[in-house]
Amino acid sequence: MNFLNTPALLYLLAIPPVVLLYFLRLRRKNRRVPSTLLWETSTADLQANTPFQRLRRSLVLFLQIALLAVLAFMIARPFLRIHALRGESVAIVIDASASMQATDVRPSRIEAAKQAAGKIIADLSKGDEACVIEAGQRTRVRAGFTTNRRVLSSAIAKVRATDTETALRDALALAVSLARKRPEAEIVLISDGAFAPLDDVALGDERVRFVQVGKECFNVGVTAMDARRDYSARGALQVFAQITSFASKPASFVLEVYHNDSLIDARPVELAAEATRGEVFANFPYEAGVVRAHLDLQDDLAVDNSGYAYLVPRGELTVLLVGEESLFLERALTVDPRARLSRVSSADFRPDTPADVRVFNGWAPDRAPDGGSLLVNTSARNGPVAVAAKVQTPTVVRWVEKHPVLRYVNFEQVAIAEALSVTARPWGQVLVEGDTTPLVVAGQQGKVRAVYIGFELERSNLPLRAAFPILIQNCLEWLATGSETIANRSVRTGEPIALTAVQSGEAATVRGPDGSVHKLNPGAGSTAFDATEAAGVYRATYPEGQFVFVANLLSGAESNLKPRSEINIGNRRVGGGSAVMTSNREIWRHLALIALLILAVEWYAYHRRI
Amino acid sequence: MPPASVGLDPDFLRSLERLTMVARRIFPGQLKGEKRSPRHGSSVEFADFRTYAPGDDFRHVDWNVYARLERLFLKMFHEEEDLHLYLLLDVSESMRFGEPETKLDAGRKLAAALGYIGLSSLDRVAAGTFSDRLLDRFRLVRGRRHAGRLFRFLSEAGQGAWGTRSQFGEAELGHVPQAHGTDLAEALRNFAVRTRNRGVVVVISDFLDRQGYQSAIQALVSCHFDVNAIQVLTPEEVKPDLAGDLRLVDAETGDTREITVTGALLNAYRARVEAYCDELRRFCVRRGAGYARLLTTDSIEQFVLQLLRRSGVVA
Repeated sequence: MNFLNTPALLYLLAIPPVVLLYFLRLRRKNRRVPSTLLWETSTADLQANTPFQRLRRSLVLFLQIALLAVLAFMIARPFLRIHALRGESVAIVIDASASMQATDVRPSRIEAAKQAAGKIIADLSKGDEACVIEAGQRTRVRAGFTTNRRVLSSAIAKVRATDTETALRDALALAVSLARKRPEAEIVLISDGAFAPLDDVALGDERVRFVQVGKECFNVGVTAMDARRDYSARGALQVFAQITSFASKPASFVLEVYHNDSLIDARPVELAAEATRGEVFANFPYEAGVVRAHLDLQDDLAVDNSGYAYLVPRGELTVLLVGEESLFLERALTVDPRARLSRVSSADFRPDTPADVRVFNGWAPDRAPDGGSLLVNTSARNGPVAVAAKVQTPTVVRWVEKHPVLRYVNFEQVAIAEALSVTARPWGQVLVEGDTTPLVVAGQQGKVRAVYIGFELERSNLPLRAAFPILIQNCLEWLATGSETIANRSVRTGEPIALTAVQSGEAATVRGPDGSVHKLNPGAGSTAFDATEAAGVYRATYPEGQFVFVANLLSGAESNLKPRSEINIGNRRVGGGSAVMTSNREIWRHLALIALLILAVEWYAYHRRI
Repeated sequence: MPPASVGLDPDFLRSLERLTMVARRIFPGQLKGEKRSPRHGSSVEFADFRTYAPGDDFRHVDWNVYARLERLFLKMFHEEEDLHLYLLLDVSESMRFGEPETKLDAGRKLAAALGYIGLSSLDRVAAGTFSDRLLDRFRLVRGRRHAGRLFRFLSEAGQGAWGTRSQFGEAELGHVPQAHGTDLAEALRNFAVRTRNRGVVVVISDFLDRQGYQSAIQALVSCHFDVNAIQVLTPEEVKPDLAGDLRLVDAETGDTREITVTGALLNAYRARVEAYCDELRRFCVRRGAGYARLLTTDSIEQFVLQLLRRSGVVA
């Protein structure tokens, strides 16, 4: 029991004076009687019969003390955390991410979450309303605010855990916006706490409770999976899988690699507790098809035990190098065996010369032609930057690692003697930021797709670094629009992928790994397909053939099943609670009733001499 | 006309004239009265024959027997004699309780009524007061003409200086008793020892004696008195109407007793009073003594005419 007005407990100090007064009052009235003979024997009998006679004698005193104590407690305004709804409206947000499939609580965390939600629904008082929001990669309102418990229960039953990360930010924002319209609303988040930090959610003054499901558990998952060409080995395929243990004890298992469902390699792996290991399968013998890395162990979460990659066959890539000669650039451009490099001087350059990617080194035409252009130490009028002047020794301040152009590229310790001073156009994304000027900018406007590198390669140490050939290869892959790459055949679960809806008259159908079949909208030329919530292989079927892509969870946040007792939402720390709705209910009314009752009993006892 | 100074109704006194005291045993009297005497004498109630001895009164010879047997026999009759009635009234401090009439008032009236019955039936009546010892004494008298003196004695009983007119005990030695507690044993034993003529003793008291009433009654019974114990109590004593925290002060001893009156205590007290009275009654009955209880609110008339008659104290 807690008190809103704890200092009022000082009123308890009124009890000793009452006791004192009682003893003072006990100066008894004298009464002459013919004889005390019979009284003596009577009181002796009574004392012999009731050992609590002394206690009973001061019943009135005890009642008065009790009355004072109750009154003091009443003024102190005690409240109980009681098993009841605090608000009149509850927005129930159920985490439906991959981690909720964990089976550490039987049958699964999502079922436990649904049970908890059911409890909350059951606790609703008459007239209280609730809504049910499923927070997967996408936020779904399973039931809007309603007082109908049957609707709410069936909405809860519909909630399914997907193979995706959770977009709790969206779900909470939705819940906040729904709750804000209602007085006395409370948001209840039922989750295992396995999600990326929610630092930028503005809760306002909404009340939020976090109901935590799940307990300490054992999980090892594939947290990264990729296939790429090893240009140091003439473009042979490498398959890379990163395995992370989130268990508190060492795990030993077999890492299996499948190609189109046939096992081609297996490695025993010993993984210490909370360790990460990367496994590389170099010189992968296959050029195309689905590669699956699978951890053969029984842990609490199955969905992260597999990672997928789709290998695409190599095609030709025509690269046209225009402008100044550069040994470093030429070497980097020819690292990829499929690249066919041709050179042309700035004078001989014609915009209609066919090429997948054009590389302009130190010189660029007035307008960059349609298609992909790599602008080195130069820019065009329709390029991603506007050139102003030159700056000396710019320092790299930051770079965007997640952009495909900078995949596996590290700009640390890159020194540059001189660079163009530019400002990026609105459509150009600054990938490498210098202290005085953007250094690498990429973007697409209309049919022009361009990457700008703002310094002379020979006047920097970039070509000498391992990152350089990777950067150039990334540029080629990104600029060669329409060309098939490994990267654009793989999405994270729940994320959309661009598919061509119609190739020749008939709309395509997509079959997911869970057996679901989706028909693409024939009206759109290219459509974003987003029913990718299950991890695995998706096949879009056209009359001409199939387009295969894979969806991967690959999320450390989801694989880390450790339960969080509290979470941070925005700048607020929300502690884990139980599904039992507690609310702080003041009980002074009850105490007042009790006081009244004691008063009545005291009165009766005093007058009837009980 | 009898004086009514003790508060008895003249009509009631007239009705008492028809009653007599009943003795459960036969006592020798001094004058011929209305009671049988163990001595044989000249009454109409035949007792026995005995052979003539020289000196016997010729008037008692049965001449019819002499005619038949030619031997002289004397007819013997129960002699009807007067009865000695002793009225002992407790005037201790505890008797001064009761509203509107004190126990002492009720005791005086009762004693007066019984005394009047005795005087009316030519019994010898004496009266005495006692507290922790015998106090005043009203000497034996006979005949209704002494009723006025008896009533005056009774109405003055327990008033004024204690023991100044005492004809018993230490008071005669100039000792003026200060205490006015109850000592039944001392007082009644004293009475029994000093009283030559046996007869009916009516002890009117509340019998609330710390030393106990047993030895007192036993002493009277042992000395062949016909004992009647009449316990006078106030209704407050039987069913007290008390509340709150009290210090009870014993009117006689000054002892105090602190009580907090509760329902349970009152119940226990009532049960205790009933048990005490019942003990006294049993004790009396076992020893051939009479017992009756008089509440100060009871009507004396009814008590004497109905209850005492029914219990055989008067007839």
